[in-house]
Amino acid sequence: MRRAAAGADGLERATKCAGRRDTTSFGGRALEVSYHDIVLVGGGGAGLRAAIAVVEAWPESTVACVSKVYPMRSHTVSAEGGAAAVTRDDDSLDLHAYDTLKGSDFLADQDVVETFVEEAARELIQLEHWGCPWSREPDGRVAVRWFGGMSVQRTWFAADKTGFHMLHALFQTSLKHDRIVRFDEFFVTKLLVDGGQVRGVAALDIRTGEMHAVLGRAVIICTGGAGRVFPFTTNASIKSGDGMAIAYRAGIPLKDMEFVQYHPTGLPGTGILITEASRGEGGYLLNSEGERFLQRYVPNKMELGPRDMISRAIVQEMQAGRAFKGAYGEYVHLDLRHLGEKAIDKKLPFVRELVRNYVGIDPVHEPIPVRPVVHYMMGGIDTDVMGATELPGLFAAGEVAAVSINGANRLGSNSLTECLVFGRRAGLAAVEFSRGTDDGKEGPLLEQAKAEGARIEALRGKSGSEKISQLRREMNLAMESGCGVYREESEMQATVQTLAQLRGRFADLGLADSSKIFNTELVAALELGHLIDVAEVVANTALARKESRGAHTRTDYPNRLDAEYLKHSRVRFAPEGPRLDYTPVTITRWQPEERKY
Amino acid sequence: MTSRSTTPTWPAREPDGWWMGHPRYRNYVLFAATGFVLSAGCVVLLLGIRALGQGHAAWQAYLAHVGSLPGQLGCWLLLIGTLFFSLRWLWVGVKIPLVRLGIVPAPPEPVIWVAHFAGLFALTALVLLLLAGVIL
Amino acid sequence: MRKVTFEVFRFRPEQDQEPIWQTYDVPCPPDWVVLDALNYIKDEIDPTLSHRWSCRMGVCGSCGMMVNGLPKLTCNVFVRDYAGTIRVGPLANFPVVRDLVIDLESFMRKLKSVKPWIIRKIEKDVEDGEYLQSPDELDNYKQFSMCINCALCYAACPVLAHEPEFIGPAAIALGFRYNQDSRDEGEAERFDVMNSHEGVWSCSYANECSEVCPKQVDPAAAINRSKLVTALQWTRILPRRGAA
Repeated sequence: MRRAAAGADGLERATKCAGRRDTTSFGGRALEVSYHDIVLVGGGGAGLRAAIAVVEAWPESTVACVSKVYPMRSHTVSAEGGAAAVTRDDDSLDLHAYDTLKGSDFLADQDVVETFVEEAARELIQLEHWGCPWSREPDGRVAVRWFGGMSVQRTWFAADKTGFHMLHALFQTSLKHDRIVRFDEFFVTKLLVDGGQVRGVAALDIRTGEMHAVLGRAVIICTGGAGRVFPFTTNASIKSGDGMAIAYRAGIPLKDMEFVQYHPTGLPGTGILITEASRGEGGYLLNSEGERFLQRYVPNKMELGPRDMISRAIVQEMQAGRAFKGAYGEYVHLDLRHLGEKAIDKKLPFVRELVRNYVGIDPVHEPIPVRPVVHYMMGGIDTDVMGATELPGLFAAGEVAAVSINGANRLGSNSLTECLVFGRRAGLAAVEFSRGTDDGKEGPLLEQAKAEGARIEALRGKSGSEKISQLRREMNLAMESGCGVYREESEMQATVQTLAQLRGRFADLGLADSSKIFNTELVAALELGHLIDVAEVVANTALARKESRGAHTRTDYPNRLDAEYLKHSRVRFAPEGPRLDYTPVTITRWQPEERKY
Repeated sequence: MTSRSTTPTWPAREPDGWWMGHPRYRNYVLFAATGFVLSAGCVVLLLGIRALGQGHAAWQAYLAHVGSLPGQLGCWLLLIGTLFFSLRWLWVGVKIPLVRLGIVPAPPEPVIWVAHFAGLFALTALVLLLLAGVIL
Repeated sequence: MRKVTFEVFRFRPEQDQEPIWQTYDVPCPPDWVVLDALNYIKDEIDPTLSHRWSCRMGVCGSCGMMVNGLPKLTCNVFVRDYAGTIRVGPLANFPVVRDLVIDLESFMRKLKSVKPWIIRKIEKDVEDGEYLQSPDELDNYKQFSMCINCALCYAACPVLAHEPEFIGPAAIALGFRYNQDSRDEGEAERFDVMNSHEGVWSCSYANECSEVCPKQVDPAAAINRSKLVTALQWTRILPRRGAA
């Protein structure tokens, strides 16, 4: 029956029997095959926004939403502070664009930023219509707050759980669309490409341990960042750069990967994020002498300076001996006491909850110990303004993509909006692409999926002398020593060498668990492979950029060098190691200037 | 819509130690068990009404039964059970009225608390006054 | 550093006829949460142990388990707060897929059954801006929008242990959250599900859901307020919003 609907030549498959499931076999094992029109990888903010955009624009289609976790577990859930858009009379699109570009140290593409600021407000209002409980003014309008690097108050927020509320509003809204077909806890490990076009993904069904081919006319990657290449990060354990790695392995370039954002205020030890909104609402950063030390670094912005500069300022305070010493390294104080209990409970209840739980103090009465912590990857899969990559049919949006609006340093509260704006755009672009193409030939795709199944089968319970946790730890430490807030040639070289060794040792990985059902050791091994790929790209691009720009700060090249480096780095996979080239930055109306706050 | 495979599972189990393994469980089980005490109390009162209908001697016998040691113990148990039931019900029930009903907004929480306990005391006082023969 | 003995529920359907409790000794620094100990077991002692976790800051809802018999977010409870052996099992009232991993499918179906999205007769155009909602109107439902879907309340509910078809605290709180939202007009559409036997009327008000909720959502309040509202609506004292 299903076969008949597929047609003799396999063409026109997707729309005619979309949503069908089929089983074939290889080497005595099952290969499940599902047919959809568009395949999403990742079910966070960008992915769910894309999914809804697709079914709204193309009601006959079905979208497969393939995610290694249930969508409401996605890391968007941890975003706290807010989402930026121009909605007030005292604001303008040009101002938001300028703030974003200045924040990016002029590495963002200006045409993309202009598109972004234009569509931002529409998307936040759309989320409001979908039930997001934005905090309100007494007159019923959505409230705005200050955020770092923004010249006016333009950040919408839902107390200090904005990402959580946005994700749940999106997820709950997605439930009303039966044509969004979820593959929860399916781990995508490979893109299926035939005839120069992506036609689906191979995914491990974590529950059964079986390989699954999810076929479609277009694939949208929305898997988020890769903070877990570092040991000390705000990122959830699932942030292993999966989407970046599978695109990279499919030959698609990753862009601007040397730019890793350190958030100034994470809790020592755990790395749990204390939102920038705590400074937006008036919190102070104090050194061990009780001084608001930012007056010496960003005197005009103080606590509302951009993240890269404040993180550097904190590290300089540490180096100057003006930081506190604790069990998990040095830290400074984030002081909220003067805000008062009422304001903290109203605007920053989650901060209070987190600090009470995980530090054991009450920020109403005591300052919070904080230190810079890896937070966000500015870089990602190289896409255009529609989220399209250079591989026909492949799109990306959210943190996994570099469109790029973030350049060398992202401004706080631009990323949640980015998920929405570019999630929608990627969804619409995928619809347009899918309508103009066919389903391709199924045979080669299934062969690739079977080969991928065999690769994973060989990894499951394989003997070897290396341990996952050991390699992960060594990778983490190498990245911290070479690619931290301040970087230097010899340290980065050492990191690159260590990573190359780790890649070799990865081949000798030993796994203890040979079972199929919910084998999380196998998932961890696959994630480790992705992490090492991403780490190598970050370290190699960082080494090659001999200047300081945004979050990429080199002690040996302390200045920004526009003549040589006002350009995007791009890295492609090659068996011998990452292959690097550069593309120009699009400048429209704003000439790069000295970045001073 | 989900596309989910299944695998053999181990069946769902009750929480360990349910129903007496934890103070909160015990509290709830006791609360539920007061239902038996309250039902028994109702039966005793119904028997009293029946005895009243059967004449003076039956009523005297009924009073004697209730006044005997086991009868008195039963009455104390009934009193304690009723109090426990009422107090727990108030404790969990006080949050129910904190709700917007149509166009009527949710009342402020202190109002509910005061109203709840004022209601309880007023009702108790009314019953006591009735029993004491002060009113009616 | 204290050496703590963990008894962990193990069930591997491919090899185990029935579950066992496996013992691990874990050296625990004083600031470790129970999840840290599980990750230590996974990384350093026994890589075959399976458990779910992600954000480690109490907001993604992945790591709910029974800790010494009570449902907890394991990233949220500290080893130092437990004396003696710590017993970690999968959430009660759910079938077990493997080890500490439960089958969430019924939970996901129940969430969807209450139609947890904004329902309106006429949708406002996005170009016309946001719906106005006063801070008071926001407060009407805000608390019930804080649910992280961790399912601890399902593991705690004595009713669910015996009536698995009860749609349960989180789902009802979610339906109630939309019913109470000033932007929503879907109360009538949700009425049959919320007001069914498997809906609010299965609840015997044990209040355990609210006791174990790590986010103070208070689902018991949502369920029992729902009872009050639906009773008044059933008797036609109160209109249903969105009714034709």
